[in-house]
Amino acid sequence: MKPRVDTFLTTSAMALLGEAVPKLAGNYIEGSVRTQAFLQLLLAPVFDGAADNRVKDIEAMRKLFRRAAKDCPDAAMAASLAAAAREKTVSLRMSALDEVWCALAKQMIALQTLAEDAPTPWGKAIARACNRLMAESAGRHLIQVPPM
Amino acid sequence: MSDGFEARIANYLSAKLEGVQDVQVSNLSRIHGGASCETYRLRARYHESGRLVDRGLILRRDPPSGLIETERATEFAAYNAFQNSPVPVPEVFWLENDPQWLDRPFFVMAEVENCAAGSILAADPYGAHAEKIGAQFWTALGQIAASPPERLAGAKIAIPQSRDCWRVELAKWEQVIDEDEREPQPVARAAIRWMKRHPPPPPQRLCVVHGDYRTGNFLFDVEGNVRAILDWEMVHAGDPHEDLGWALDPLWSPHLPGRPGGMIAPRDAIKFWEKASGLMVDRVALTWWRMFAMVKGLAIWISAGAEYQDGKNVDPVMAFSSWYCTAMHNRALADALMRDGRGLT
Repeated sequence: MKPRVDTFLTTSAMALLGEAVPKLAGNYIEGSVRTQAFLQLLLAPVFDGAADNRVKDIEAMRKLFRRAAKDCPDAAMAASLAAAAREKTVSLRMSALDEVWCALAKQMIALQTLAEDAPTPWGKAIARACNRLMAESAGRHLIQVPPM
Repeated sequence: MSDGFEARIANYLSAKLEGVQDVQVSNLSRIHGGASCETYRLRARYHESGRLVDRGLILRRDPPSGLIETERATEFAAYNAFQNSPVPVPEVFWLENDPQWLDRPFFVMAEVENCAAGSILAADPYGAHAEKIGAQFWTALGQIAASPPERLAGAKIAIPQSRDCWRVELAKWEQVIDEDEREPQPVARAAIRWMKRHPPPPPQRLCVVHGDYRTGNFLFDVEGNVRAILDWEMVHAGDPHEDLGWALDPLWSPHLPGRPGGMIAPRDAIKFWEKASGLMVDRVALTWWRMFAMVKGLAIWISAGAEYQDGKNVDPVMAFSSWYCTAMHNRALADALMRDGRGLT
């Protein structure tokens, strides 16, 4: 079998910290290599979960858009939200998922701005739902650091 | 470090130190971290009035591209402003803007020796000295808050109207996000809208704002004495709550969430700050400035990520800031928005 990417990142980080860093003690590059190794350790689990988290973000936004489109007071936005909600994810490449997420995030910012300014039950509910969605997404993307 | 660079520094020191002979620079090393400028430690040896002088110096030079776009002159003026004051700062010597010496602007100050800076990622950065250091850290911040902006007369800084403090600062960092975001920032944008809808009360008085007052930006010795407050490059005039909100931010002590900066509990921190500043914390204002701290943080991390992505500054600190700090501030800010700002003070 081939080693997994997250395994490689972790193993090479440990090699850098155990073998390279002590030999660089006192040099500027020591701090740089230490930071790179530390980053590899942090990013190994991020890499493993990246596509899963992005897909969850995208699905959550489409679900929110479906709900928001129903009573949206702006007809053009309602149509745009409904169209975005109907789209399907066709590629699981991170670059493609990021592109889809960016387009949806722009729409969500516009939706949330409209909802915050709408003194209606729809506005309040959608503004709250946007905040909840952002908090859940931010929780998924949090990077755990070990004490150094 | 190349001999050429040491020789160029020695040439500069020879030109600046009057009446000395045989200036030699040795042990030149660049200090890692602080991606907003290049910081070098060095030994300078020379003869003065027949006596050998051997002293440690720190040289801070503008980078080709930094984490924060700042000016050395402002930082130099801030260090000057707090010489011989209760706020400990290193002695500063020369500010140099002429590129003939070291290609970019820099200044030279004394090295505060036998000290360390705490790491924000340490499990317990100050250990047994946490309370002692905390008392000094929050008191020094109160002393900065007690300083009128006129103290920074040597720095070219604008003094805003009291009622405009929040607007000026928020506009500054919103512009950074506008210019540097490479992808939409729903959390930062929602927070900015919230902050515009809930402006803080005007400050009781304007003061000097350090701009980056936190764990990692001061030096302490083995006995737990705070010896120097560093990194004044974002100094400006503003609301005293601004530094307080920044220093209380959870980013500076992820492993000790109940002890901002890894020192003491917020309630105790505020007591020291109030005593030294002569001010009372306004909870509404502090809530706003704590939200602001996270938006400002996000702006800096977004900018760092753009610099790295664009290849302008590939120091791994920039990538670390972008990944880790952005994620943490997005989470904290999104949680604060869920609670409509409640629970931050």
